[in-house]
Formats: sequence, structure tokens, C-alpha cells
Amino acid sequence: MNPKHIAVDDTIMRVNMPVMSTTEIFRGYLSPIDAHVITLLEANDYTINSVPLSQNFGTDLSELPLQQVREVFKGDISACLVNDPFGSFKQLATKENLIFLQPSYASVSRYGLVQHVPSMDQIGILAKDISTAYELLSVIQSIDPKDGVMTERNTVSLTPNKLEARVAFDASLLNSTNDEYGELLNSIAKDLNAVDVKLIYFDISKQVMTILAAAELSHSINRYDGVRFGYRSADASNLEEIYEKSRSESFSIGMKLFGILGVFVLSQNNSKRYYEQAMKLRRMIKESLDYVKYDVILLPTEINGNNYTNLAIFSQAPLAGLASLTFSKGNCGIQLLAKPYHEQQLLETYNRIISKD
Amino acid sequence: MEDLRVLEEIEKFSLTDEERVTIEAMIERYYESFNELDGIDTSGIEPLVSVISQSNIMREDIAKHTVTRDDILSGSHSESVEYFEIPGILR
Repeated sequence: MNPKHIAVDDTIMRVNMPVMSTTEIFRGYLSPIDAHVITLLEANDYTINSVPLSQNFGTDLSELPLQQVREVFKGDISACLVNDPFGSFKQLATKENLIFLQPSYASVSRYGLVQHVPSMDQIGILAKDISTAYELLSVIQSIDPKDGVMTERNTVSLTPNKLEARVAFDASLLNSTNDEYGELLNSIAKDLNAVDVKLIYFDISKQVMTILAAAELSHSINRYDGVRFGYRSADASNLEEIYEKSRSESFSIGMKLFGILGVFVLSQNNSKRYYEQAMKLRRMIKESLDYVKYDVILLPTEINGNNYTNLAIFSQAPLAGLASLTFSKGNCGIQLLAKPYHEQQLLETYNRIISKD
Repeated sequence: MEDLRVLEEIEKFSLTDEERVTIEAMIERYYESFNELDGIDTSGIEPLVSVISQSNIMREDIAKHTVTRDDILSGSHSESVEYFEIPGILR
């Protein structure tokens, strides 16, 4: 493994390189710019490979991109940067013995990142080991005036803490895991002297996430019209047909589903019931995570059910803008959440978990 | 729910018959799930637009050319050196 040889998902733009090359609407499109993180990596002597990891804006939720991840990591690549709003790569990190470090919202520039769900988009780090993940974080986190929401306040502190992080754990979530996994998680919570908390909005966060993601994603994909970017239908004979045929022929079924869901929840008759309600619930979710009584939340990475049910686990960090660290110990998948800009507490808690026999 | 074809028209794409059957079934499941939010009291709660409590940051109003016209046009099907090209509208 070469710590200076990394991959970036091709949603992170590089001059004259293909963008999201496995998504049909981008066919033939080459980036005119370098993303800010690319500039930072090159300035720090990283060798970069662009790889097609994210397909169709991450909307094909029923299938995890396992083969793509294996392909990326079979050489000497030490890490890969990728935007993961739906948690697909976090799930894979636990299955493939990798680490996923999701920095706090707006702590890493999104200039040059293909927009998916803008209120949750964040470049994350999928790495072979923890030291590579944190080394990369120290390189890519930097205030960038080209990202309109970044200020000095959005700076991650990687200074060691004097006090151990106080950990919280919602034991009621174990009712939704299988017995063996539940026991492993419970014993980790005990080792960390975790306080018991109830994540009161956990069960509805998958709906909140889906409504907000659909609304924002349908807006994000509106710009792909066959005129300015990539794919254009060969059968179109006027402007309306360029729009309609180019989008029909090049959007995946997942993109179409999210597009339709987005239009539905934003429509005049429904926006109050769905979109506005979801935005209010997002505030309630964010404010319910009470970081006065604890510093880090311990979560499972899988609960009984399907990928939609599991979305509840991985939506907490993007909905509240938190930092998260996903990894496995043995067969036990673990996710840690810390309040924004406290990534160091995730690292220290990780070390406590891994060092325990 | 609205007729799926109306939503397709707004989104400016059309579904194949096969896609329509699949998406219709998935959307029904999503709506059923979304309805669980109806009973939650959110009165008095302000919608959360962004997780960071600040407005957009504006840079100094000084002209900069970060991307050229050629760069922008190179991603399209235009052969013109000045404009995006589309088939004629008025004939």
C-alpha cells in the first residue's frame, strides 16, 4: 500500500477527465476545472487515480457498489474520496474491513464536486486504515472561498483531547439487530461505559432523509438537459425533444424515481405535508442529539430489514451535519457520530474500541 | 397521488411501460412510509434549511475568469464558438 497513492470518485472533477463516467447523461463530458480537494492533494504530492464509484447519483439504493470498491482497492491505493449521502460506502466499509471517515458538513470544500443533495453533500474518505484517513483529512480540510458556506468556524480540530469522550448508546436499537451482533455491540458499549440514551426520532429519519434527498436531487438533475452537458439524444428534432428524449434515454430508473418523488413532495398541494414537515423534523432530529450529556454516539451499521430501513442508521450524520466514523471490529460493524468539527473524538474513541481485547 | 404521467411531464422525461410499473409500486411503498410523519406534532418548529447557521458567504465583487467560454462549450454538442447549439425552432 502506498499512502500517497489515492483514488477519487469521478464525481470529484479533474481537468480534462471524464465526470461520473458510468452515468449515461455524462457521456463524453470532460471536466473544465479541478475540484478544490484535487488542488490540495496535488500540492501535497499525492498520486491520484479517478475511478467510477458513484453511479446514477447514488439512487440505485437496492444494490451496493461492492465490485467497484474491490476493484479500487486491489492495487496499492490507500484511500478513496467519495461523496456518500445515502451511506452505501459506509455499509461497504464494514463489510470490506475498510474505514469511512465522513467529515463534518462544510469542513471540506465541495467546489468541483458534482452536486447530489446539496444540504448533505460532503466528500468523505474511504481508507484502508485509520491513520491514512486522518492524514488525508488534515490535507483536504481547508477553507475555500469558492464554497459559499465555508468560514473559519468550519475548521476541524485534530488536537488531542485531555478528557476521554463520553459515549452514548441507544440500547433499544438492539431489538432490531440479530442476537449475536447485538451482544457484540452491547459489550463494546459497556467497555466504553456508554450512557443509555433514546434516539427518539431514529425510526422516522429514513423518511425525512428520503423526502429531503428526493426534493434536492430532483433539483440537482434538472440541469442535465441535453443542451449544455454530456449526452444528447440522436432522435431529437427540436428543443423540447432534446430535453425529453435526452433525459428519458440517459436517466437510470433510480434517478427517475427520485425525480418523480422530488416533484411530488415539492408540488403546491403536497409541499406543506411532506417537504416542510420533513424540514421541521430535520430540525427536531438535529436538536434531539444532545451533545451536552455526551460527546460521541455509538450506532450499529445494520438493523434487520432492507436498505431502506438501514437508511435510518446512516442518515443521522448527514441530516444533522455531524462527523462520523464507520468501521468494523471483527465481524461487528460500528458507526460513531460526533458533533461538528470534533473528528478527533471519533479517532480517540476508535482507538479505545480497537485496543480492547 | 397525481397521475404519474403528469409528474413525468413536469420532470421532462418519460418512463417506459416497464419502468412505470416498477416506479409506481415503489412510490406507493414510499408514500405509505411517508404517511407515518403525518401524526407528529411540529407546530411551532421552524423548518431547518441548512445545518450550519449562517447565510451564504459572498466574495468581493471583482470580475474573475475561472472558466473560459471554450471550456463551457466543450462539454456540449455545440460546434459554434460562441453559443450552445440546438436544432432550429422556427422553420
